[in-house]
Amino acid sequence: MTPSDHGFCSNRITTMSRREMLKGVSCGFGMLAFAGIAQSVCARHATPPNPLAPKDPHFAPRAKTVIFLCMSGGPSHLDMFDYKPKLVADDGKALSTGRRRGARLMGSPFKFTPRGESGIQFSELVPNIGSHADKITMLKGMHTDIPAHAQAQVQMHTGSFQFVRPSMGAWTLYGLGTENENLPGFVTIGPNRGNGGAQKYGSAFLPAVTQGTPIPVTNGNRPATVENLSRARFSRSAQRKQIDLIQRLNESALRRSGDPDGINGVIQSYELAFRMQDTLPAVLDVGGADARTRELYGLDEEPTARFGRQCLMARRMAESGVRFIEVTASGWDHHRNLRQSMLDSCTGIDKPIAGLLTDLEQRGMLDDTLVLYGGEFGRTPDAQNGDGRDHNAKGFTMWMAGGGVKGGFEYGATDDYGAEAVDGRVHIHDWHATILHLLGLDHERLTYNHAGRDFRLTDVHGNVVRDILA
Amino acid sequence: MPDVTPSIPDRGPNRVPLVARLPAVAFVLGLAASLHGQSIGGLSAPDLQFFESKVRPLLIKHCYQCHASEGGRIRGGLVLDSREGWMLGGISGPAVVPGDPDSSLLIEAVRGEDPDFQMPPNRKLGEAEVAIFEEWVRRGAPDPRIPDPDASNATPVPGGGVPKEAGEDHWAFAPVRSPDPPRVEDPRWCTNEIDAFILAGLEADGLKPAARASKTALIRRLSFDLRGHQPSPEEVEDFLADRSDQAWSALVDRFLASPAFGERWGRHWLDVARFAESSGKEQDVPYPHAWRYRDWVIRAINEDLPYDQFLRMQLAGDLLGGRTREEVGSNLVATGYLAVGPKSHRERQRRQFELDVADEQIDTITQGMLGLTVSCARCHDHKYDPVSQQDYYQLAGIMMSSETLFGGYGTRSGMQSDLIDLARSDSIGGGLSIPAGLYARLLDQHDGLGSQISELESRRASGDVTESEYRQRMRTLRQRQAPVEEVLARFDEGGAPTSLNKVAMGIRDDVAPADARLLIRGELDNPAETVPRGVPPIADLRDPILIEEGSGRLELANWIASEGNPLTARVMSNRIWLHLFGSGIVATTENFGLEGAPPSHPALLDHLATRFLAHDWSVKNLVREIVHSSAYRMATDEHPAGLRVDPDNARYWRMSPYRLEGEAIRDAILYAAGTIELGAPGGSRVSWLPGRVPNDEYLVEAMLSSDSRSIYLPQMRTLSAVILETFDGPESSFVTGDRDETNVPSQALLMLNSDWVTRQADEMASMLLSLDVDDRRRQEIAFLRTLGRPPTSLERSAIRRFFADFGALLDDGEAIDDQRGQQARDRVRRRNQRRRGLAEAPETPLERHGGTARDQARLIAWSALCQSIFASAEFRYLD
Repeated sequence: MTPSDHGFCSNRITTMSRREMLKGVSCGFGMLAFAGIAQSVCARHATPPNPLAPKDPHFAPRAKTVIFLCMSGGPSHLDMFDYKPKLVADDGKALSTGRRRGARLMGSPFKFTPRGESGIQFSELVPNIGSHADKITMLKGMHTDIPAHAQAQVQMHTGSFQFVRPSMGAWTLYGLGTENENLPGFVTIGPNRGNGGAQKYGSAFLPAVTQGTPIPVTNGNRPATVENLSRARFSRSAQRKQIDLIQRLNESALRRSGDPDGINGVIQSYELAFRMQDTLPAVLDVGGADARTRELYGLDEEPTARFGRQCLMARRMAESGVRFIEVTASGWDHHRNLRQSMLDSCTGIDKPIAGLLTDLEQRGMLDDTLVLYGGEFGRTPDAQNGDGRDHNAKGFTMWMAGGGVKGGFEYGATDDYGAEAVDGRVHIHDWHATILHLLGLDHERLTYNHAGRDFRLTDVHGNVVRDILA
Repeated sequence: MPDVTPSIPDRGPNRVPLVARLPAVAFVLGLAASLHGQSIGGLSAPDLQFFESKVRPLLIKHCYQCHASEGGRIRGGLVLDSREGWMLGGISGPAVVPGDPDSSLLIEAVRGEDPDFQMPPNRKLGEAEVAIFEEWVRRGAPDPRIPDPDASNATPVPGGGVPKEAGEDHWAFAPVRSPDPPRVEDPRWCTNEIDAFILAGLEADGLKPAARASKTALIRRLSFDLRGHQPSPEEVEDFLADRSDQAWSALVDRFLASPAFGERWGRHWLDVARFAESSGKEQDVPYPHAWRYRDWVIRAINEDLPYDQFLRMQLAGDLLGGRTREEVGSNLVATGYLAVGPKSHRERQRRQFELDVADEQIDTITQGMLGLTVSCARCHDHKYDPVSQQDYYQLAGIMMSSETLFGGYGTRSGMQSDLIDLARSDSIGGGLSIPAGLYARLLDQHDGLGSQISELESRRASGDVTESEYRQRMRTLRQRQAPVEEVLARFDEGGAPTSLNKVAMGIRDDVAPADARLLIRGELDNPAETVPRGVPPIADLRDPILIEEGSGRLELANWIASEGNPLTARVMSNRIWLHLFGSGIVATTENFGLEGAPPSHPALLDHLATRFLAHDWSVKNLVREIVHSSAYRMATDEHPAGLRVDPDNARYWRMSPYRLEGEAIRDAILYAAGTIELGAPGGSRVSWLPGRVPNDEYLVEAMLSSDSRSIYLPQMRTLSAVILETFDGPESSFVTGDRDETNVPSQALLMLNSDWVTRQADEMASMLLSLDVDDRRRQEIAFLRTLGRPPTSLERSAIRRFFADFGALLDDGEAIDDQRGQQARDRVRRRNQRRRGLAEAPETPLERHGGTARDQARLIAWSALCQSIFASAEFRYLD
């Protein structure tokens, strides 16, 4: 297939500058949205390009939707997925060399059991996820560059810890568009504001419409919602008239402004907001879920209620055609008191994640939904503060399920203590390349020309981990 | 044989120089085992002789200069003057694998096959010398240089950080120089020297600066940039009419003198000072007196307190004294900077808590004032900057020799402290009076809990409850009562604040200042040697400034706030530039370290810093100079050459448009609606907050009903006003120099659907309709108050069409879906306000307006127009 065979990379976006697209043509894509009132302006263009219309990938995709279960804070691979009997055997021994000299090894206090036909080891902290062992590909040789939260989080999301770059959700949306124009194409449920903040779902130099829409989630019983999602005063038709006026004002600003990107982003946001009012409440309202679903996701139990709601929303969004859905669980930074904190953190996510996998499978969605699990890095085999673990960027575990990856498969390994990836090493760039590949995108061809050069999610790095492809 | 080559991420063939390699976590246990197996003292005579006659001379001759612990300069963290030194290795890991020359980094280095990894760096060793090293390693690296085990009982600390020399050539650590403005081809464009630096860069790239912006655009830009809100229609009119040469400078001076300047620029500093009125973390304990620091910042900026003084007071105001009681009080309040950070009040170990507080302070100070991330060195040497763990603990010694005063009432089981007593400073206000209804409600709560307590006492006396049950219930009751009691004590029965409310957060020196011990991996129970407290040798400082007496905060403050400090003036000049141009000359505003972004215009940055220093650190003066430049007054117009060569506008060929912050958007709405309450409220509603877990609804209500400027709204770490959060407000637990700028549908929803925006639109419509003018003029006024310009004819026709369509829907009763709903919400809101003891909101504009259905419809239509303008892109983007 040549680059021009597939829709998006041919001549629309890469050869036409974004600004030409946005502004030079008097009815840029922002205008499309309110075609009703803008018809007079747009008369010269029968079908203005919609940047979020579904686009053909580079080759046949294995997945069309991504659900990324993002664990913020660096969960300990050693206590969940990476079983290290030698570490347990050497528990309490002091390291005699290296920077961490004097630190004492700490075997996982949690019991591991082989699960499924594949016999992959899962700790007792994640029994429910373990029951899906045969659907999962474990990436046990993950590594990244920086053992600091903000940088590692930003790198996990954008590929770069140093520069402001588009997030992988934005790249996905740019590459594939989205199938439901009434919902954002990229949603992030319960993102934390720290550790990289909005960069984690930002669009950087990609068009603003590719940015993620955050759905804040609170603890307790308040239903998750986007603030101000329901109309305060006007009927739907009256609000449409009002938005038409707003868009006329925006159109007028677009003619004069030096910031067509910003103005177009605003234009787009009103149209999406208007449609979201009708579609989003049903997706977010998990109160009406039936008893089986409530049980499946643990909605009625305190420890799992929050993340369960997030996972259920994610499934509904996937079902509605949202392209990229991120779900965040925070609080994995266990420098101390690891035994209790890991138990709490894992309890919060184990059942909801397992429920999500079950639900996706039962609905026949797992085949083309790629579920990603992972945090920004792992943790050290040696103890910190007696009963804690420090950051470890040199070796950790992530996993994938569904969407074209092997089930019951383990790839890569850390050393005997789980300190460093030694085999089947997968860098974050490789992870990105593989995700794009599963979506039918060649990470070397998914480029965007900015400031005179072509940018990629993987910069000049990245190798697709072919061994894990089903 | 174990492989001890440091692993290098597979990033192609590039070899990284030895000192720059990422430190290998050396889990080389095979090696460790083989070393343990070696007979330590028992070197054979030939081995000993070989070492002494051949190896030691070579080491002294070629290696000790950079790799000896006595030498002072240890490169790459590697010392070769002891056996332990090479065993431990440098930042690349152990230097020698006994018995295996090919796996030994030392051998690899002296062989010099890889120029980037060759040692000694400048001259390759002869083959004979290399052969000696190889032979030595092959023999198992016999080495008699074993330290006397009794020489020191302190645990030696693994080194391995970035050597100090790595910073020697770093631009940001070099002194600020005063560069001559470059020659430019077309000097006519230049208003002041700043322009020469900009234009020279443009000319080099074959670019031309954009034309001057229109006067309408300029006054709007300047007003938002300096005051944080739009100009009034009268101000616009006057400025347009003033055709004198002084029009611009007169406008600049007027805006600089406005109290709104401090509210705008104070907010910029509060971002950097990670200001909030609660602890954040698990409990979010309210800080009822944090507002005093906020108000101090605003006042200091309005008074143009020299920036060095500004910093000195925040770090050590308690040690500066003052001529009057008021001055002393004000200096004390300034140290609130160190106390308002996020804290984990639930931490049980006092020492751990203090370490965490000190760490948070070091992080805030170094990122905010110096553009350095020193806190990275808490658990290990900094991985990218020449900041060692010793450096960190020198600073920690200073902070730990001070007592942070943060209050923390209502946390009977958690960490608490004293506060600063301001009762003697007469002119310092006591804060907001508590509303009578709220006071009464608190009193009720208190008494209710009191009677439950006495009931419990009597039940205990009569033996109705078991002792353990009694203790448990009593603890719960007292924990609930304590915070209520604390609030009540701060107000008298009339609701006025008592002297107990005249307190502030801040810091004071410990009675017995002491040095801190370095903590291995940052662990409390893993102390190593004691590190003398002082200003560590970071940035350009070669030798630490050691502290003889007191905490050392004053010495730290004086070092930071000195003209000679290469970072302080540059970091602040860069922040000022950022807030006027939308992007910093150094993009990483909090990181001027080795991994930070290099400056796009280094000479300009130094020019700004020089001017800043030359004018006695005057922020207002530097702002004035920048806004007088032609560069600042460029239009935002795009031109093809600029877009092609520099689409990010890194060279400043035009002014970059930017989206206003949440504060400016909210304040602009209040200004346009005419509802703004100017000036400082003189306190914070947070100071009425009973209970350690703030009641969300109460605070949300407090924010919605406030018409103060946004900087005065309650700002809890877990809760701030929705509009501020939606428009990318800062995460107040971190230093924020440059805010995010997103464009998401939740912002559109807020503008369309929030009751608050609707109410402001109603207020503005009501005001417009009360004017004795025709509708055409009314529209013009609506535009002038919001966008600073009259509507265009296209916009007028759009409005005409809107009124026609919308009016038809109104007439048919099809426009209002939810008016009853909204009225019901208003009623509920009022009932809640009554219940919570807050002053009731006045009548809504619709209620006030009254009149016939037709009058109401007219108000609603005009309100919809005002709201549409608030919602428009132009309202929130600054050209």
